[in-house]
Amino acid sequence: MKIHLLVNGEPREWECEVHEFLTEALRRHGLVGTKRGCEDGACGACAVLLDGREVPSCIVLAAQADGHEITTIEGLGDPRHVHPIQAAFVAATAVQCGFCTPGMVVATKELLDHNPTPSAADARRRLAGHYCRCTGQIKPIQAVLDAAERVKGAQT
Amino acid sequence: MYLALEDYSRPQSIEACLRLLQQPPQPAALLAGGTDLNVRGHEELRRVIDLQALAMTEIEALEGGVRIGAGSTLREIQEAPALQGAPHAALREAAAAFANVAIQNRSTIGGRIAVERPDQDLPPALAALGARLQIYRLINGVVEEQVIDYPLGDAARAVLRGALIRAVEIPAGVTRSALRRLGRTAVDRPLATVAAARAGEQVRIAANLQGPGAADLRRLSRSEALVTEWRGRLPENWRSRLRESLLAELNPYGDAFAGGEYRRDLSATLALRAVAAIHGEEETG
Amino acid sequence: MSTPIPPNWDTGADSLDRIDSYQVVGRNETRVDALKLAQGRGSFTDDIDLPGMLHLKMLWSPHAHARIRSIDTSAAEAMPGVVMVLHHGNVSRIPYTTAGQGHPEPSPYDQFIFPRKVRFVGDRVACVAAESAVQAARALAKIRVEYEVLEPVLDPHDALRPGAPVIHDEPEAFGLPDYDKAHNIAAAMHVEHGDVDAAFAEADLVLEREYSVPYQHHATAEPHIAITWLDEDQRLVVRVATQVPFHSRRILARILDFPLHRIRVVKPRVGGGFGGKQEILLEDLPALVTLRSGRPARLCLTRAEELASSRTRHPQILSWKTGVMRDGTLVAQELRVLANTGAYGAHALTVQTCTAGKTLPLYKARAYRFDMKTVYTNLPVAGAFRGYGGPQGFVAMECHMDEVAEKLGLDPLEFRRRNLIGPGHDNALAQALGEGKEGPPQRIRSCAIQECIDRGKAAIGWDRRDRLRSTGPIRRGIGMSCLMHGSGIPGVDMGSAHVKLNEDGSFNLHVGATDIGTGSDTILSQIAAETLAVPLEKVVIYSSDTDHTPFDTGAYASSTTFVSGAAVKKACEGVARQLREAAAEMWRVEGDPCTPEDLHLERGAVRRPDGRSLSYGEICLSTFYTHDQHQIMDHGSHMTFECPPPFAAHFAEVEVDTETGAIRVLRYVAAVDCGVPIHPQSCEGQTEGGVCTSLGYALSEDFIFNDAGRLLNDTYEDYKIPTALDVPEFETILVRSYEPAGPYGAKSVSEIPTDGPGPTIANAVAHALGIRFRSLPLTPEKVRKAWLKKEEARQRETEA
Repeated sequence: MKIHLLVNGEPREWECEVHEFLTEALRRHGLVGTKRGCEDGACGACAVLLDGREVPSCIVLAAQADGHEITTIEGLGDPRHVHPIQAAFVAATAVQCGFCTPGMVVATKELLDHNPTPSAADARRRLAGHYCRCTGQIKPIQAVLDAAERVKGAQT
Repeated sequence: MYLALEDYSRPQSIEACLRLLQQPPQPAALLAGGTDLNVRGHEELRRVIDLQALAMTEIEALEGGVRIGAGSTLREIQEAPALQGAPHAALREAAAAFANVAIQNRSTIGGRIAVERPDQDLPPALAALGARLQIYRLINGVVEEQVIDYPLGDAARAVLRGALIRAVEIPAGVTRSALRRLGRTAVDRPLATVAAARAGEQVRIAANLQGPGAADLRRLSRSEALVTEWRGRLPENWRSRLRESLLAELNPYGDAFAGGEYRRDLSATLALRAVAAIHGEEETG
Repeated sequence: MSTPIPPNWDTGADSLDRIDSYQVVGRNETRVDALKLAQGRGSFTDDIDLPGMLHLKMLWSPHAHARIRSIDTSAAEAMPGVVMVLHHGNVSRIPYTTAGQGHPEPSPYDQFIFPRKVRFVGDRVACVAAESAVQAARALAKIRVEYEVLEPVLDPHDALRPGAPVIHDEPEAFGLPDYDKAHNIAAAMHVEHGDVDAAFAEADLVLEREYSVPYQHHATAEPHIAITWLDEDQRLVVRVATQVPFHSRRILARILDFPLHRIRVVKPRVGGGFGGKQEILLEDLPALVTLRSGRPARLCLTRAEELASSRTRHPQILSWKTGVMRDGTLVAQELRVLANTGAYGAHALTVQTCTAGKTLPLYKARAYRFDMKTVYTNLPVAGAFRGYGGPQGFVAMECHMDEVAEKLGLDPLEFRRRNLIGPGHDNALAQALGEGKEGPPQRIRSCAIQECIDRGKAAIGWDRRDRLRSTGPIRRGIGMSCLMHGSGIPGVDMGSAHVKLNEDGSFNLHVGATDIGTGSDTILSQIAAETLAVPLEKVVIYSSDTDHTPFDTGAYASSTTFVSGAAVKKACEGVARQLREAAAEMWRVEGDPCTPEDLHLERGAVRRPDGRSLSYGEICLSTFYTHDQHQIMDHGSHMTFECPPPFAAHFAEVEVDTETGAIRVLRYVAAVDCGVPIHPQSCEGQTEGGVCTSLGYALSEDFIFNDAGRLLNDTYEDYKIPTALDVPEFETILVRSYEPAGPYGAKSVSEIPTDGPGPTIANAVAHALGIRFRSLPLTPEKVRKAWLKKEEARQRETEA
């Protein structure tokens, strides 16, 4: 079946299988920053924004995303335009193996879009959907709080 | 896991949804957020009917209570202005307890009701709040509306299987509600959940995991009656009296994740705390 | 066993002030790979797609113990898209171990590519290769397997029962001399040091207690995955998420019977390993498919497959016995371990020797005894897991130390202080335990454990301990533990590096060491940059690829900074010498001679005492094109018989809800002596990550089986690792010491944090409730039941 999406601001028409999940469709089209982690929505490695809301793309059928706007990690920055959230994760050494990092960055984006001054508790609650064995979550929590400052700074 | 889906459709009306549900390829299922689609038991599913075009996302305070469109996500329920007060605390807490924020962005209240799993937080909350479901189904080819009470009896559950949940109605009158639960980590399905609510002097208490499968949800009527009798003023020895009543009434099942005896004890503790919360009392003691 | 520190023994104390002169080492440089990872740029094994790639899916055993009578794959082969089905009937049968260790492995050779007899639910039965993963998955259901179901062994005690079913009855399996497959014994060891019985006889108090620790799963973010293809020269390329590319190549060559020189193993970025990717777990199957079909092939495990069929931490039952004098002086220690390795014996010996080797030597005693058996069962397979026996052993030892202190009426912390080892101590026990054979002699040089205790104690507020809430339903407690680990495997681990100079004064650094998220690419680059006096961005690191990087044993045993880092330093010192020589030669040609020994490297140039300089770029251009033409480059290899332990003191404050049994860890303090931290934030990150992994071990992680040995919690919904909401408020304290044997004074840091949370939290809970738990995890149910039992006993006492 054909689906029409706005992916990172670009209109796309993709041919998909009925049973195909959004993670697969994105990766098949080269957007490999969205990771396969657990395939049941628990680990957060596949997080993308769907109409601005963080969702686990591994439990969303590609067909369900038809007609919607998707933002992936690739839409949040590139080598020449580092997103302040990415800069914060790098600066805090919150990136260890880095497999879970894109999901965390995407999650932070949605968090800050709705809550520009999150508390540590807000950061913890948001990252609780992002399993990470490397960091113990301490530095990612700091990175989220630092990212809020950086995003604010970038806007003023 | 790979689904065997052959057909996806996104009809524009409730009637079209219900008709498609009966057409081949089968088996077919209604698809809301989809958070329980890619799970064991769905290997044979051939058709999904996506409800997103129906929207059904209103959350409005009406005269008789709050009407929550079945397509409202658990995230929307936590944030809706109409659900911010003390009466709906149990509902917000149940929504916030499910999995993680990203899943709460997808999972809908209608979907959670339709998924018959014993280890959910939402059913006790809805039962304590005295929720009703507005549903639609096809009877002899005609779409009919029906309102059914929660928790569902066996008959209502059978009705629900071929039906579409349109909305959840939370009647007015509840002044306070609370939900207490425990998981092994902060993001876990519950080992036990109990919700309590006060509507005037009437107290409702509901617990999950009280039996295998769909019949797990129970109102604890004898304990409800005991607390209701106290008319909002808990007597000195209320904890021991209520605990005794709860332990006599609770009968949770044990599985590999928690024993029945522990669940009984835990449910009683959680019930005491929920009851304390709706009376503004200290929760532990 | 303790001897005084000899004169001239370098404990590194004098070298501590050198640290401040370092330019790159010791600084929180931007990690060299962080940005590309934070931007999700394709870096991992699965981030490539090859034309014509076949997708593999596995058929796993549904039985814990069964003989395969027959396999009929004809219907599966007839399914659309299916290219081949592999099973025991059509692959070679060469015994090996998946353990991914150095040659010769100390683990038993008890596996084949496909077994004829399946030994756990999740064992390999067959593998389908098809045009798409969906086609492969659908064909699995069409494979007809006839099993002769055998009685399973589901408990380690049962494995030793006379007449127990023999799990490895195949004639080909073999192991070290103590290997005894006829009795389900995968490994065994008995070591004594000193006169143990005499020491126990002298002790004022002898205490013996039994502890047990559960299964734990690695839960790497990235599942196991391998992609293979034939390159234009018909060589086999294996792109695999591995910690051990060189072991992978060696083992693949053997079991595939394919020439080693025609295999290239490439390690791209790896999404976490923690020991799970030390195993040669799956790359043999896509490799076989590629060799037979000529086509690229991919096998990636699902999360459920990861949980059921990959590797785990060895569950153990530990009996700890201590002889102690009334004043708190330890005289004898005895540890007996019964470990469960599951269906296969990967790391069956060495994890368990480390259970003793990382723990027992921490406290001085006159005599030690260690007795260990690792048994086969028909349960999931254990293997290497960050901590490698340490987390198990420290649960027993550090809980036991609290119990002994309580019996003696001593403060648990002061009791430990009295018995801890220090600089100059000979670690004779570690020598006796070795790694599959007796190890080299070990003497402690750097050791700041006492300072770790001081600083951790202050940070947690140990002195509040007696004033914490001890009435009411919510109780608080503070607990601690002392820890040590190792740095590499002495006499075994070897790392090497190659460095060459470029025209812009930059360097290519090629290392066999495998960054799996540990930060080693950054840390090794820092060591190179420091040695070559350039900023970090002038070092271009590449790791690791068996064609293009020199050998390294791999990322395990806390070895990379200590062993591979020293190799990098050697290689760079060679390049530094060549730079001085080339500069001296250039000046000689110009008629202004000097001796290389008078020259020094600073800010990317070779400098003379009078301040004149030649930049590395100028030197490179000259040596490439003008004079004395050659490539400035060098290599270094490093192996050492030293294994300096890092030390740590962990502290936790917990809150226990006695009405539900739920434990909340409020605050955690980890004070660690890892020598000089090359990248302090990374050392903190290792500590925080390691602690949180074992937070799950302490509280929520376990394997739950049904009566037939099937894993019931094989999803993340049911297997619970700690989340950001469970992680306590955290303080990491890096306590400075200088390790003379390590590059720039560094020791290891990666595994020691996993040793602490089990005992630290159990001790804090014991303090809070007055109840000693001797088995993990401390589930709410376990805690509540024990509390009720205690309350009942108290009531009975009051009534009586």
